[in-house]
Amino acid sequence: MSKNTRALSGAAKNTFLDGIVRTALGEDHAARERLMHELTAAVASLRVRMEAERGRQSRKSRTTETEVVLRAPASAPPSTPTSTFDPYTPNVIVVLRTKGRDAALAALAAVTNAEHLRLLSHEQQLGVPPDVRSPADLRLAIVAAAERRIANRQAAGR
Amino acid sequence: MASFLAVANRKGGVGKSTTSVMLAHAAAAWSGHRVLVIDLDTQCNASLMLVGGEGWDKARRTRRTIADYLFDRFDKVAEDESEYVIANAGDVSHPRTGKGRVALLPGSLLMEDIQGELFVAQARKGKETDVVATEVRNRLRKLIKHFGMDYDVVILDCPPGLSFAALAALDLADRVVVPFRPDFVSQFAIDRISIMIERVSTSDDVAAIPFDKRRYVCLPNYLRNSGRERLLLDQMSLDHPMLESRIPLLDSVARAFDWEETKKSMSEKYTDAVPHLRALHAEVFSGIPHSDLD
Repeated sequence: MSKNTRALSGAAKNTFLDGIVRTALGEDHAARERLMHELTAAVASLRVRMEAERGRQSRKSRTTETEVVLRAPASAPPSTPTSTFDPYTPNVIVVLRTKGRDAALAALAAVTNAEHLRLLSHEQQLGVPPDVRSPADLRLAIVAAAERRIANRQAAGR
Repeated sequence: MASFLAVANRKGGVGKSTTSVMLAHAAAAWSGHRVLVIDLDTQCNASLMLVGGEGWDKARRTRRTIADYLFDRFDKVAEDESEYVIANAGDVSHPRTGKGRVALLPGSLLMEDIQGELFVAQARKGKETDVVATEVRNRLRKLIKHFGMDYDVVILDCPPGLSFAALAALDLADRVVVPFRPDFVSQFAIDRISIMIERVSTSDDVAAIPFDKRRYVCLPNYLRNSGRERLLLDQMSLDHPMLESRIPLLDSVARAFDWEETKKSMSEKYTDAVPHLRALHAEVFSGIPHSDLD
């Protein structure tokens, strides 16, 4: 092992990656989330140049060269359009529980892009069948998944 | 009589011991409270954080642990319990006033064994097992309560499992702080422990209790401020009272696990976590009178 490099894994790896992503994407929270999700799924460990790590910590250097050990992601999220769509809004379960099914569908109506709906479904862990394609059907499937999840939790609390 | 504050969650790895120790230091240093930490967890992490490995080992060898106390005093009239307590624990102390020191009733690896022995010993007297279980739980509650005479705040660091001592602590607590990491399974863990704390049968029963009447409050811990965390926090806030304070994932909190012989100030120990601890301290101890306002 070189004295000039350091292996990072686990939380230290994620912290390092998060720092790079924050520097690169600034306040684009949704994009940061997506990229971090993919990176943490794909990157098992890093070997980081100490110079790069120190530079990041002091914010004086933008050196970010790393040698990465890649592995295939277990489950990749849907490909994402480049806009700054926030997959955590609306919070489907909260809207469903506080305002009901129609309100949840109405809130989702603001999301018109099928890829965005798939991303929302993925990030909110409200799985929809892969053969559902139209935005209208995706919205129904997302709300149905939210209903199942609420019922699932209620069952555990009995 | 002290305020009894339990720190509990049946899920492990959520920061119960770290929260217990942070709250103890904060109450002692910033409010001037006389604070005792009772380490009920067989992992003994709070003990290690407050007196280090050697200090805890010495407590074990000299039979000054919670297990020894409960075993020795179970069938006896309560006497002076201070011999089991390490008075000058923790590694925080204000350089001028000396405030910040906390007392510790150390944990024991034998805690579960001792409780089992107490149960068996009582069961041999011929009583029904559920009666014995209730008696053991009640007796442990009384023995723990005995420490309330000498302190302003007693913090009960509960184990993840459901031992007699953990149940006794939840019975005794005036308030329960439930630290958690916002993830999918944490919802179930909080649903479940809220049922126990409120002494009801189902989550629906808990839901019928207004937030401001509940004995517990949840503390989001180890936050990375991700979208998924915020999503889950919003969802969990529908069902459970949440502290406004949030403890982010900080190296300074992780480092605070390391006990050092040299005493230091809160700022030196907790560095950039101090603002978060200040907020937590203000929320948790707002209703507890100060014993020393200096």
